[in-house]
Amino acid sequence: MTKSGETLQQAASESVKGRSLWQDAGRRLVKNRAAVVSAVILGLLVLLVIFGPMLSPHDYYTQDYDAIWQPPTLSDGHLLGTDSIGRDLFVRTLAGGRISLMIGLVATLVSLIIGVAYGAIAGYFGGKVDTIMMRLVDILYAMPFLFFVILLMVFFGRQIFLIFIAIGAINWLDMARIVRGQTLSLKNKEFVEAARMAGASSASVIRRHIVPNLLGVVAVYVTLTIPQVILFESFLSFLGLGVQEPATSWGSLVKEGADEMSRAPWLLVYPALALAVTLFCFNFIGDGLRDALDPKDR
Amino acid sequence: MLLDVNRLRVRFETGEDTVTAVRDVSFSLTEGETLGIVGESGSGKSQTVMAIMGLLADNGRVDGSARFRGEELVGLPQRLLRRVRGNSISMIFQDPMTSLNPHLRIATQMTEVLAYHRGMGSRRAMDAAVAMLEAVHIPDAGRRIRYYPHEFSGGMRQRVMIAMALLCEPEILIADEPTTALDVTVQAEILDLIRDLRHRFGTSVLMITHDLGVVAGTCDRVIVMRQGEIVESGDAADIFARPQHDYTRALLNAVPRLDTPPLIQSGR
Amino acid sequence: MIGYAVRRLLGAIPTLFILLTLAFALIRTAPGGPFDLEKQLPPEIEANLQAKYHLDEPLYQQYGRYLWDVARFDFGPSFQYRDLTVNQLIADGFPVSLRLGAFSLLFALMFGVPAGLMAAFRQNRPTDYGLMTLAMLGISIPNFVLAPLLILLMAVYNDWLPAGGLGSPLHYVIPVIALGTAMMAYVARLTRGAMIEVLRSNYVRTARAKGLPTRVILFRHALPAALTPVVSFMGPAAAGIITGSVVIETIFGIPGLGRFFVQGALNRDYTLVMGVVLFYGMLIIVFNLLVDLLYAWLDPRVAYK
Repeated sequence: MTKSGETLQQAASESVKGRSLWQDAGRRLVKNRAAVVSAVILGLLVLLVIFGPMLSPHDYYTQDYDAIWQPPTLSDGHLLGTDSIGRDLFVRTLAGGRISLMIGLVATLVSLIIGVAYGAIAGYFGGKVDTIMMRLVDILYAMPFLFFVILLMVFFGRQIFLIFIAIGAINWLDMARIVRGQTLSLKNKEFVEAARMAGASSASVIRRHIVPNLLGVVAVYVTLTIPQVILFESFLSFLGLGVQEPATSWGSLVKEGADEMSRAPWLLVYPALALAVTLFCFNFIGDGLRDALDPKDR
Repeated sequence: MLLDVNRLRVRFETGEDTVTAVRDVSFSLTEGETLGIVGESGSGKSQTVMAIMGLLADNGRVDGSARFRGEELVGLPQRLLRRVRGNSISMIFQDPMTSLNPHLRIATQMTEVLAYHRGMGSRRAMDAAVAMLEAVHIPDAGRRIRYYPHEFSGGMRQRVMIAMALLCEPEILIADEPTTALDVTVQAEILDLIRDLRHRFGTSVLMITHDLGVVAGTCDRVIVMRQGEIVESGDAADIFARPQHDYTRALLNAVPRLDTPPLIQSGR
Repeated sequence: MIGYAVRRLLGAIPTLFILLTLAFALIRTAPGGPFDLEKQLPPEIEANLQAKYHLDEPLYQQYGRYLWDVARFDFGPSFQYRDLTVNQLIADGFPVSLRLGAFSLLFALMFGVPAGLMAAFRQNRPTDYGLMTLAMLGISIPNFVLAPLLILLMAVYNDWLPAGGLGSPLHYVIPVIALGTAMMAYVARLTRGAMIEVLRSNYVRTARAKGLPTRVILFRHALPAALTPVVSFMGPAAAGIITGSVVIETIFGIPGLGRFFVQGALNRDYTLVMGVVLFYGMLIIVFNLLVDLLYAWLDPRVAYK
């Protein structure tokens, strides 16, 4: 099909110019207004979380019994008010954000490493290795992981290290499945065969051909895993099983806020807002990435 | 004159541009004849018939005229077009595996046509459907009709599709690349089947294909399409013997033949 | 189909074993747990443990006894409620959680599916964008954030609904909404995606070419195909509801299994926590099995191997 007026030759020569997969995806992503707005908001949030506390004269743990239960005002620098023992909510929310985001990133990294390694190996070697590995994934998928993590927290205490591992260990399953699927389909593509015929070793084929092509899919899932992890951590914190005092996270803050919500609703609303907005933005960006890389799914 | 198509134009609106897929196409189909529409991919042959049937995508626009027994189909509201589709004009498609609903039994997919177009009760519809399956040479039709599509082989699935299309004894059968997805031996069987059924039911056939071999075996007349336009039309025999247009010649020359010397010598 | 069912059943057994073994290993290695030999326990508990778990026997024999106990659904005595067994606690708490969970799933399906369908039929138009943005919100707002906000809105500021407990049908409203919203959002997205794909499929094209009325095409051809991913989602959805119930029951003071679990976790009631994990784990395995069978019934290609 050609555009009206064009000849077949003109149309053919135009399409040969071509665009790389990334440029194409990039264009589509930028057109997705929701994703772009989300990215901006998220960026601002991250900046705020990192540099915000410097703007306030208060810190997140100092108790000030003269200034308890203060609603948000501009006086005294308590921008978002204070809690039951006089701690400043603004700084606490940002401090909580640091913890939540950090856990999000680190645990996702754990997920990523385990998941990509597992999935790439299973997909690349295929056959029996793949079958067994994926069967294991299926089995693990059916486990009520949250409960196990809570068990872990109860039995082994609430060290932050454990939290990273536990949360990361839950989410690698999805990543492994996706990566394995992609590897399987990539493995059979012609350029991999060509590389092997030229004598490349398994490791180098995995490294130079398969991994770069996995980046797209992995990027999407990382962006979608981070909010899941943050959600999970806040879930744990809400139950009282997350990070320990005096460190705080959005989950703990929401719990404190929920406990006192009739008396001091701002304690609930602001951390909740921060959490929800962050998750919202990550999800939109992840969705946008997915659509950009595979528009058929729209 | 069974089908009279006049200056048909099909455009698709894709956000920024409008793409013209079919441009000023006119042809006619008389009773009992088989008309072949030939062209390569993208020539607009499928979109022509989809437009006539009212099956274009949402962003498609049709201009011009397509009269079936004098009644104008272009612009006809879907409500009325539906009575024609599957009833007076039927269509079969290229890939029988994906063209049949994998979740429903063949029996359901066939009897619903009769139920809707002929108001038949389930017993009569079932009998008629089984009879039609036998007419397309499906062995053990009474039992097989309760199967799901994936339980049939590719060739049998296409037979099922043909049977389904002929249930209401349509006057026109449109076959859009009916053999392209099939093995060569099965192709021949399907074409024979279509020919037999044609004689038996007196159906006219619009055969869309890119394969000249198919055309040679089955069509009375041929129209050749390229980039949305008709470049040549006429009797099949004439087209093959005395092609007028360069494109037609190119198409014919592209078919490998056994009676010309090989292009590449082996060894020496 | 029978063959398929049997195969799935057999496949569930290793899953069950791994679950049981993992749980067994966990509780044995827990520092400060009942099997921590260094810990000093009150004499009654100590006596109970000895009698029940035969701690002087070799490990594999304990494992055997453990499996046997589980097979008979005997989860042992509770640690925090001295005169109750875990079984009794589960028997008390589960029906409550079951009701809450079932209503939440129903809520998710009843609103999620129509929303997804509506979005699919008006693809890329304002209705679609609006509904999908709402769905995104539903996924992004954690249930323990939604719950207090809903309570604030509907019970504290306006006196429309009760804030906790389970006295009347009205009491279920906020908890069900809080628990089911995320699931509803997922269902809506899934349904929309599936329906869009189905509407573009070749077999729907054939159905149109046969001249069938839209109603028939939608209900007989499109809907069953579009709903299969939703059915498949019911497995993870149930797991999600169970997970969510832990928090929702705590917030609303609902005496369900989730809340017992949290209390147990905070009070170091090892046997209770273990029992609930095993119970829910087995429940999820069985539920997934049922979902698989339902899926195979809807999509005949699956069983045909």
